[in-house]
Parts: sequence; structure tokens; C-alpha cells
Amino acid sequence: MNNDKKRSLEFVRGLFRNYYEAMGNKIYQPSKFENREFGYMPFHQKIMIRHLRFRNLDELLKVLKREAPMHVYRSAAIYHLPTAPMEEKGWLGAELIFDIDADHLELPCKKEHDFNYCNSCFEILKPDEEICMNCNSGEITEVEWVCGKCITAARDELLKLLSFLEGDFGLNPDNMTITFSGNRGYHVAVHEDKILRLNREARQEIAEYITASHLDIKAYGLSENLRPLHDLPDYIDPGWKGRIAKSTYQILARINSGDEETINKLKETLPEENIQNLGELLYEWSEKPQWSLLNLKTHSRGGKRINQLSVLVSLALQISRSQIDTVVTTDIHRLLRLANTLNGKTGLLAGVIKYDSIEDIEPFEQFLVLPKTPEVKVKVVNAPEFQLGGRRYGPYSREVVKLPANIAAYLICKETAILAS
Amino acid sequence: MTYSDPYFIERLMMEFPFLQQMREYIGSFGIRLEDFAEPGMERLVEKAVSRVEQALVHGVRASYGTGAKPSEEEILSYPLSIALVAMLEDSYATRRFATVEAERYSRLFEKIDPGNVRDVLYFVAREVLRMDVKLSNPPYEFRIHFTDYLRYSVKLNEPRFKLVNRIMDRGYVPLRRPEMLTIIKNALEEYIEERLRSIGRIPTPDFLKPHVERLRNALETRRWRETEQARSKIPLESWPPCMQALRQRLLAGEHVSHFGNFTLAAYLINIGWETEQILQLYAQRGDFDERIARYQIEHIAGKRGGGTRYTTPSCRTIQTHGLCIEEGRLCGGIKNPLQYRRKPGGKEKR
Repeated sequence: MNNDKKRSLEFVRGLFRNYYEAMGNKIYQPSKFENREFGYMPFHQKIMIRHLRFRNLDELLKVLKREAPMHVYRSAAIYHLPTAPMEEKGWLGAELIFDIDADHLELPCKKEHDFNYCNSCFEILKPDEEICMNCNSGEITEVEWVCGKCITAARDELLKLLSFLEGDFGLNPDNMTITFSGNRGYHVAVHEDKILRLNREARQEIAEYITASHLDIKAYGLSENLRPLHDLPDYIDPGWKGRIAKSTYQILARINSGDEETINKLKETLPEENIQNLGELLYEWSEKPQWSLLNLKTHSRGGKRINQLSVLVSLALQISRSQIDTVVTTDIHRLLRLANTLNGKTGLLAGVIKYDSIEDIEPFEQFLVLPKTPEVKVKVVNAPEFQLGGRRYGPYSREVVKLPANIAAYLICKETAILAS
Repeated sequence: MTYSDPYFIERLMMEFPFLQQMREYIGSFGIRLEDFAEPGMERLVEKAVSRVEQALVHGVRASYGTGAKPSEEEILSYPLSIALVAMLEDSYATRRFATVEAERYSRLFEKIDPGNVRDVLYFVAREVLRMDVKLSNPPYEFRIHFTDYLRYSVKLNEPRFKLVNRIMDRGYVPLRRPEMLTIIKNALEEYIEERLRSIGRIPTPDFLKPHVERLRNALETRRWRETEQARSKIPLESWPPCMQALRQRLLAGEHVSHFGNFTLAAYLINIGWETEQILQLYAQRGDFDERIARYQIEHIAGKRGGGTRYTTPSCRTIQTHGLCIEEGRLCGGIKNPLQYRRKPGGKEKR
């Protein structure tokens, strides 16, 4: 690591330390504190220090003030011996955790704002380019950007997830901790007693439920030979049964109102005249789903025989599932970011969000907690226009700019800026 | 008659001894082990021994043909059967006996007067198995909490038991009667096994020693046959597609994740490869370090660390890590790569 970069990180670390010294007591305190494993990632060193145990928040705070780490983690699990090697820890249970990350949502904006740059000549490269065309260097930094669209998309997935947890799983929001990840997503940790002992396989089933994977539409009576109407999904049904009915209605409504995204998606498989007709079924569907009206065999664009019903239902599943990271949910030994600590990829707070304020939350304003002062000069390699703390910045391209400390920290953490000498 | 009717419960207890604490149960008959040494008890002893032997040798098939109400003789010999399993001090024997018993009970449930089945299942689920369960209206007579449901349903193969194919309503999964019976059977298996373990050690009295010896032999035979089956090496062309692909990538020097390496090694160990053979395969890797590799393989094989041999990860886990080939379409609905069998004489499994 060169000296400028070191100096820049040290600057950010100083801001982190000041924050923990002033605000440390706001750090989230998971239950059974002394049975948790903790870990942190220092600045300047890409090695996780883990298998730590603290008897109370004060002990942890002491370390945070001393080390001012880049990232702080805690186990979702509770252990008999948190400091022992994994096999000897004595697993006693684990919260049910969920991770929603905009990066996994395959959003079109990703292509627009992510970039790579060459470490030696600072040439800006496309995200898939791994060798600099300018100087042939293979030393590349990848920068993943986050925009308002990313955060909104992640929040939509979060809202869907919460509707599953509350409606389908009957979990009490009082027993959930919802947090902004501090970067581009959200975390949910459920600490209801009943779910702590769920094993890996059970968690896998839960993850598959939420992502609708291996959902068999025949189990809901929707095959070519439809079950009798009273046994088919209706709006008032609980679980996926009701969700399938409601989302299918939603699709019909979108077609009816000429929603291009939906229509284009359906055009990939269904002939145009079918789509037109579907829009007109909306009225028939207003009281109760009329599944038989959708049950039509047709030919796809590629000439394959398909059933219109199954095309619509699989789109319905796509819109109503929540795209959680299933690997996280099924890992019963996972470390997750400790809520209300700073995320070293942005300098933003991974802050706790109240259940009833999710829709109003503006993470890029609310969780910009580092101070504005001092203003510092930074060399910015590249940055698309972005909004932080309610103000617009950029776009920047290989220029020196004077910025408030928290904005400079954001760009340094993103590895697209260093302090100017 | 409802589940709270004392007469009803008492009768239930007689037919289902596992519904009580085992020691209490044995005690409740006023029978001590020595009583079985008395002349005239040979028939009961033989009954008890053969019940265990049948379970060890034939597994759940041993429970076929039962199902009618147990005879007096069966009831009286029962405590001895349980004591004999405890004397074997073998977890394999315990598990096998529990499986057979759970199967037998679920057959008995089916024979109960139809008007009472719902109440019996409810009683067993709630009072014995401690499930969070509610009665509801047909066709879904039961609603059980998803945590209880998942505990037992994850072992079931059929897609209709997957949570994603069930209705979930505020934490509860509605179940039809036969589905509830399946869940209860699985739960009973675990419950009985736990109960058997809780008896602890029982020293073998002299008069029973030959019988215990006979059971041990049955157990050994069974185990020997099972390991023989596993040891018979599986030729490469009969490996499941995921394992073939992992091997191919390894040999081609392509990147294989840590999990991929673990999976392949665990598979090879479980189909009977020796450490040396596996090492040879891994020696193809650019970053091969014999010392580390040997340690890891021996660890997976249970020769180091905690001493438990790792089984091959399930198809599901392999799928989660993106190593499954064609979502298992080539494998005929197996749950673990070890279950993969190429059709005899066939070329490719379709």
C-alpha cells in the first residue's frame, strides 16, 4: 500500500475513532452478549480478527476506541465457548438472519455506475475489463457504486421479506432487528426464542420459501387440469396461495394499464395477441381470480408449446418473492455486521431502522454520521454524480476537490479517492 | 370421548409405552429383570429377544404384519426388549430399534377407531411430542407451528412436504390427517431414540448374556453387510454428474472452491477410497501441499479432530453452492450424491 493511501485510510480511521469515542454507547447490544463471537477487520490489514468474546458492551467499546476498526462483526449464533475453534464452540442456537444486497438484484443501473480503474495510470475501465488498455497493467481496483435506485430496489425486497416474516411466519416485529447494511442493502435478524434452534436444513426451507425456489405450482392446484375453483388460489388465502392470486391480478392490471416493463417481459414468451387479451381479463378477475380464463395452450416465440397460465404464474412468483441471499440465511455460524457500527466500505453507519419507519428512511442522509469538518482536499479518480446527506456531489473524474470530511471519507472508503498532499 | 378423558389416556398409555418415561413404564408393571429368569418366562424372553433381533436385521420391514392391538404377551415382554436394546450399548442399534418402533406405532394409530384418530394424534403431538399444534377444520384438521413442522419435514423427500409448497398462515402450517401422521412418525422416531438413550447403562444379568450375545451377532452381521455395500468401489462412470465434474475440473487444473474440494473428498472417502488415492488425485492441483491436504482428508475421514467422519454434503447444499449439474435432472430425485446409482446395464441415466 502506498503512503498516500495509508495516510488517507488513517484519516478515515481517525474519524471512526472519534465517532466511537463520542457515540459508542449507541452500539447495538445483541442478547446473550457474552455468548456471542465477535470479530473485526482492522484498517491497513485484510485479516479478520475473530473468535473474540466480550462480557459486556464496555469491554467491546474499549477495543473499538483503541483499534477503530474498519468493520465490526458479531455472530448470529450463541455459543457455549465463543472463543474456541468452530468445532468446539458448542452451538446453542442462532438468530434467523437475512441479507438483502442491491448487488444481487441484477439492476440495470449497476452497469451505469460500477467501474474499474487501473492502479498505475488511473485509466477508467469498464467493470468487466481486467487489464488496463492504456498501460497493460493488471492491477485493477473494482468500484461498486450505489445509487438511489439500488437502495430503493433493496428496500422493496426488504418490505417483501418483512411481509413474509410477519404474515406467513407469524413472527413479531418486536423480535426483529432491521438494519441498513451501511452500504447497499439491509439486514434482518430475528431473535424469537422459537427459531433459535432451527438447524441448517430448516433454515434452507425458510430461505426457499421466501425466494419461491422449488415452488411447485401444481401444489397450489394450478396445472393444466385445474382443481375446482374453491380449491384454487384466492385473494384472501394466506401464504403463497394468496400471494400467487394477488400478484397474478397485479400482472393483469399492469398489462391493462400498458405497463411496458411487464408487457416486454411477457413478450419474451407469449405471442402479442395473447398479451392484449390478458389485459382485458382484469374486469373478470376483480371479484375472484378466474384461473380457467388463463388456462390456454399457446406457442411461444420459439415455437414451443407452452401454457399461458404457467407463464403468468412464474412471473407472479418473480415479482412477489424476496431476493434474499440464501447462503447467509442458511449459515448457522455466520458473522454479521454489528448494528450501529461504521461500515468501512462507505463510512456510513450500519444503523438500526424502526419497523414502522422503513418506508421513510433515507439511509444516505440519516446514516451519514461522520462530521463534515474538517474540509479536506482529495484526489478523486472517478465518481458518478451522487447524493449524500441531502447534497449532490460530482461527477468527478481525475480531479482534486475540496470536500467535507464525511464525503471525502466516503470516497476514500470506496477506494476512488486519496487525500491530496 | 376427548383427549382429556382419563380412561382414554390410560388405554393409550398401555398401547404406547413410549408415551411415559421408560423407567416408570418398566416399573409400572411391577416387573424386575430378575423376574424374567424365573422358570416359565422363557416364552416372554424369547419374544423380547426376537423383537429386537427382527428390528436389527430387518429394519422397518420387521414392523409389517403387526398393527393389530398388541397381545398380553407382547405388552409384558416389551420392557425386556427395551432393556435388551440398552444392554447392547450401541447407537446404531438404538436408532434402528427406534425407527422400527415409530413405524409400528404409526400403524397402530391407523387401527384406532376412526372417530378417535384425530384426538389421539392431537394428544400425542401436543402432550408427548410437545409440539405447538392446534385443531382445525377438515380437510386440514391440524395446524402446527412451522418450527415444529420443519424439524421433521426436512427429512421427507416429497416436494409436497417442502415448506414452499405448503400454506403458511401466521406461523402455522395446516396439515391433513395422513400428513400429520407422517410428521408424528418422524417425531416419534427421534423421541423414542432419545428415550432409549435416557435409560442409560443397564448391566447384563447372567441369564441374559447368551441372548445379548445373539443380538450382538445380529448387529455385527447387519453392520458388516452395510459397510461391504459401501466399500464396493464405484467405477468412475457411475459417479453422479456433480462429482464427475469436480474431478474433471480438478484434473484440468481449473479453480475448485474450498467447498468443492471438501465435497469431492468427502464423497471419495464415503465410497471407500483410501487417503493415499485421494492425495494422488489432489496432487494435480497447482497449490498442492501434501501435508495440508493429508491433514484435511484425514480430518474429513474422521481420523483426526473430533473423530467424526463427514458424510458427503447433501444435493441441496451442493445446489446452494452452485455445483449441482442440471438441477439434478440426471439423478432421479436423490437427496445425496451417495444415493446416485446408474441404471444397471444402461448407458446414461435419463
